[in-house]
Amino acid sequence: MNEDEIRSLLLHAAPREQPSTAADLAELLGRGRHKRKIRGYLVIAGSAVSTAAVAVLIVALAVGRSAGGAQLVPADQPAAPPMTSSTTDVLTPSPTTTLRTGTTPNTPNTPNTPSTPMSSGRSSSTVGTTPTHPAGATTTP
Amino acid sequence: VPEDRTHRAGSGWEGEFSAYFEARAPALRSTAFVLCGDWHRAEDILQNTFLKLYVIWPRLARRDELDAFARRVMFRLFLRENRRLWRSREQVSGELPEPRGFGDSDVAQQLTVRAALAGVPPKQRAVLVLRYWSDLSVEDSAVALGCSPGTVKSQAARGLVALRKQLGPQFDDLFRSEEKEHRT
Repeated sequence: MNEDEIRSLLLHAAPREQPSTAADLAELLGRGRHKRKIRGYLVIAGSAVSTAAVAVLIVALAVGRSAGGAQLVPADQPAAPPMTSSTTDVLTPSPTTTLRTGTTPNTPNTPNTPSTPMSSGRSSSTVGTTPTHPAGATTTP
Repeated sequence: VPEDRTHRAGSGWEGEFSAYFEARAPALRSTAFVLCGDWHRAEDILQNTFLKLYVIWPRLARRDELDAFARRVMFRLFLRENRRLWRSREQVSGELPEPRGFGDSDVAQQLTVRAALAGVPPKQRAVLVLRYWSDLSVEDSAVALGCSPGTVKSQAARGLVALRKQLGPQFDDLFRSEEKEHRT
């Protein structure tokens, strides 16, 4: 079967007459206008929705960042009380420091603040070695 | 004033579109009918094709390739419609009555060829129509269908085998009658 034979065969499938197209064009134009209108609305709506989504995302990011800055302490640990000048004076030394210096009365050279003896080399050398208190007081072995 | 300008511009391209529709619709409708074998489906495909063209008409830049573009849209619509689920398509539940003998041999041959063509798978049918009805080359057919030229060749060969199988013994009768017509 060559190409000409196939062409002549397909000619048998051709329509003899066609329906009129006068009414179709008006209907087609009406449908096309409607579709273009819907499409325009969808484009505008889609653009508005995407703009709103971006704005919401930016706001959410900003809020999350500002809230995340305040949460420096982990959630499973209690928050520390605020550090003020009055609380630093009230702080007591740790128990180990008390054991070593418990028998040693405070001298004018060694203040009772916990931070000062531990930080200065002079106070650490005097602890438990050379009592400067009155007689009768026990010393560390 | 801007509305008036817009309206005039719209009527301008709508006028172009209407002229194109009136010029090309009959040929495309015939092609759609050869593809489907049914005026209603052909009309649906044609309307959807022109609807797609209408929506993008103002953005169509290469007006000299409109025919090829319209053909491509139509054939792809046809193939897409055939890919839809069988549930969404109309199903014939009853058996069709046996066709009566036709006095006019032309009408009988028409019905035979249309029935045989309807039995060819859609993509092979589309290739046959593009190649032998629309007289397109292999490359142009491939562009219209969105496939490779090799696919067009293989589908055309399979389509011809299927068509011959569908026609059966009537195939030779068709050619004999044509030869007689040519001799007379």
